[in-house]
Amino acid sequence: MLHITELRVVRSGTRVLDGVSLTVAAGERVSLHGPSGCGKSTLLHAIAGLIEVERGAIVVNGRDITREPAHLRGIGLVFQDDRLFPHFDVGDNVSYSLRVRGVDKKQRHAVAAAWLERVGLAGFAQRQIDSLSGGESKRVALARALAAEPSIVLLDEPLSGLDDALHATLLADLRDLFVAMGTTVLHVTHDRAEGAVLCDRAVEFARLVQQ
Amino acid sequence: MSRTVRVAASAAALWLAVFVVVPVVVLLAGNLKASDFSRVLTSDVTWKVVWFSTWQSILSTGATFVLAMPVTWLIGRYHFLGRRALRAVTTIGFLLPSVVVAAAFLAVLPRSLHYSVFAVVLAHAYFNLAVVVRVVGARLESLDSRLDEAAVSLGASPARTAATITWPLIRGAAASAAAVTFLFCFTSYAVVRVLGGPGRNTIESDIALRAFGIGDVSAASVLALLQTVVIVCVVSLLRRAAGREATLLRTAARLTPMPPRVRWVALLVSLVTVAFVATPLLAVFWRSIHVGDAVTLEAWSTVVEESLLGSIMSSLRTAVVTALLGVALAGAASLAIVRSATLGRTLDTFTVLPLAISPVTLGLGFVVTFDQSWYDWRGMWWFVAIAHAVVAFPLIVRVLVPAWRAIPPRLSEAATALGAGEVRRLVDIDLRLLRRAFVAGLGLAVAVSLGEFGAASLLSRQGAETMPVAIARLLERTGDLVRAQAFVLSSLLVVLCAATLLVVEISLGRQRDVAHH
Repeated sequence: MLHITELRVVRSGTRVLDGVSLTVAAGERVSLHGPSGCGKSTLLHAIAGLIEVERGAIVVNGRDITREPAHLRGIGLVFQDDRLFPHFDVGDNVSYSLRVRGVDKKQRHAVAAAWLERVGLAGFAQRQIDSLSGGESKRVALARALAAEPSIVLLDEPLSGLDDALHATLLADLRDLFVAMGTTVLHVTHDRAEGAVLCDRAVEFARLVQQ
Repeated sequence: MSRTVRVAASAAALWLAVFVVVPVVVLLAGNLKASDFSRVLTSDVTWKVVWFSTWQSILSTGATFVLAMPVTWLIGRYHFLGRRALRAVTTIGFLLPSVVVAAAFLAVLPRSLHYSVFAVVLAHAYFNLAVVVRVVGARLESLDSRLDEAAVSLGASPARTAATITWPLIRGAAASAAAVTFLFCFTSYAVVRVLGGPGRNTIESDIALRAFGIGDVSAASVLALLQTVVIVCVVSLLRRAAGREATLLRTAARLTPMPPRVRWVALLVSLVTVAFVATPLLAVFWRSIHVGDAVTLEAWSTVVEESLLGSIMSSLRTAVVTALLGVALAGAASLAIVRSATLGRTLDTFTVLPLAISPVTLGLGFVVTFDQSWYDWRGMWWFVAIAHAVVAFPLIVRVLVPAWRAIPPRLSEAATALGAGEVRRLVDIDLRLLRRAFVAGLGLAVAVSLGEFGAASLLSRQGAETMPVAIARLLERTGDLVRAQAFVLSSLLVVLCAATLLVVEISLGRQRDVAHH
């Protein structure tokens, strides 16, 4: 479960987030809507620990992680721009979190192969990053985040920049995957329809701010 | 291919053949016998020199990285006030004549460290700081720092992120910078001659010593060949590494604002870097107004004396001829490279030839080649300028060719449609639009000529030495006034080089503006 209370984030002297509170139950998929620049992505980055929080608390499964270093939080984040590592092949990208934890090579390969199969990219492990299409890159980014077995997955407009057909296919695949795994998801988008398909609850970002 | 291009290509090829290929061939063919090889290569002295060249270069490269990496990291990673100024400061050492860098370390170091490996290594690090900052810094800058965020979100600690994400992506650039630094240190001449003290010789300084100190040109030729082989090997390794690396340069560059916790470290690194660069330079000026312990302008007042003034005039005269000659020939070569696909590619490869031949080897080649009948030019004052034009030539080509390629072909096409012939188009379109690049080329040639030491030390006539040669000679003599005079000449050289390079920088900036319009 994710529980955020009265979060404040200050950047260059400006409060980009202030008084933001939100609760996501275990296994729940919540979609967060709002116009561009309203602070949705900032909220995800704050939860993941990539930016510092000035006030408020972030609690995951009863553990206060507000001041914890980002790499110890155990939160998965799928970026809008994928951010695949260009010097690793697909398999090494997917199993990067296992490498960090010191898992041996053989097991890493097995886990990467399993995740690639789950996202519909079986046999892609040896492929180079620059040979992937836009949709394949998104699938790899997703597999990479999920392979870390995060307690919650944050999706930062993960399907932006895809054509309509690919968007629809990937969206359906994502929903099926999350439903099957019972993943807790916080999904940020400006596309209400996308949120409606993927998540079971939609929240207007402006509503999170307590006046 | 048009006649103009053919004439230009022939001129450039003839120039390279007469003043690069012939001297090297004469030096090697005319002076090398199998017995010389065995004599030189079995001598302990040779291997002592090779060993010293190698280990001091490795040590110098290490020292350069230790001093350069913190500031490279700052510049390559963060946005901050004064970032560009800091980067400019790190470049200063590289732009100074090597003999001035050596003089600067004599000025700043305590007497006990004057003729030591420590002084040599420090001066090499001073000179090569810019290589690491520019090469590795540019690579770091081109990396997407958002990849780090992705790694952290997957559980990698900052140290782990640096080791698994950042380092693999900058490793190639670091290897390139290390190879270039190694080469500069390996072929170092002025620094080793001025700061190394007796018995410490690189191959480069040993070539000069054997040829002119001992008169053993054959041994010098063997060493020159040995050194050229090392240079060519390192350069080809470098090119292969660079080729592999290029494919990764795709991610969008993004500098991040400096986080508060880094600020104090950044301030400290900046201060140390600025102090490291500025202190030896200030010491040169400081020493120029000291004779013994007394503060005096005595040394400055001797500038008008014949010997110092002679070297200043000699340097200026040489620089002007170098610039005119170098730019004319590099212009011809660039024209051929830009306009002719096949011939251009061949010529492009050949223009880097002078880079593989060290200045001392070139000077020695000149001395043994142009030594009889009507082409006995060794005593001519303009002969140094020819050698300098050879050294500056590839650098000017590297300035002119990209600028030339940036001119849209449609302009020439429009001129053709209006009835302009080939020469007319060249004068009215290309040369007009390339004015700034040519000024930059002239400046670059002047800077090279003002600072060049290796070839000039072999070719300068007594009484008409260039400034770097005069500085080295003055530093080898004893006496407080003589030493102060060396620092006066060094100060003047710093000012002259700084002014010239400022002209280059401004011209290049304006040339880029031309290309963007």
